[in-house]
Amino acid sequence: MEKYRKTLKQRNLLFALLILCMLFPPWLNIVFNENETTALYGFVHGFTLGACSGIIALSVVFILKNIRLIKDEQKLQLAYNRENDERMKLIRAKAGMPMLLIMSILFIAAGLIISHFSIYIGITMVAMGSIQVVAGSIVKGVYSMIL
Amino acid sequence: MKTKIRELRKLNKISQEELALAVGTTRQTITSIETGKYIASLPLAYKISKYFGLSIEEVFDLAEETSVTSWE
Repeated sequence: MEKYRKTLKQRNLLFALLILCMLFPPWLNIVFNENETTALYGFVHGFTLGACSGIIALSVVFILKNIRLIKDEQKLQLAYNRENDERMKLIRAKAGMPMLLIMSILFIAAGLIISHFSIYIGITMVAMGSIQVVAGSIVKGVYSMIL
Repeated sequence: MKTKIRELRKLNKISQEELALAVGTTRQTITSIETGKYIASLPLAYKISKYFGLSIEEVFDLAEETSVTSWE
């Protein structure tokens, strides 16, 4: 349990780092597309701002959740069991996690960056990444019911 | 695969959550094992059997799942 407690503390540091990193992307829109006022660029700017805000909010929630887990022994044990459950590991493996999630995040991030140079390619990549995440979640849900 | 986990739990008045916590898994996994949807791995089967103080063969009915043809 001490090892898992240490893991959670390390995760909190990573989440804090993620929050810091998410403060910069919205500024890219201002730097690159200062004079662009079309609807598509508005969408990209809004999507970037929304995604970064969402990631910051989720990171704060996970940090607080981890702090609560570290303090409560029984909840820590339950969380450890949930994370290392063999059935869930099998379901995640069948659904292609975590590679699918990593690729989706990379697609979306790359799409947001490329959108500053080619808006249509960027939006297509963001859409592909989003669809991939949804498809992976559906497959995971189906296997959760079967197994 | 059939198991006697549900009967053993009721006999010992243990909930699925208590058993799951004791053997290091989740309640959903215990449910899936009891209903036969999921076949426990050897380490988990051993932990469950050890928890009830029985052997694996006494808790898990392997007759339907395994048919061994002797190499002789």
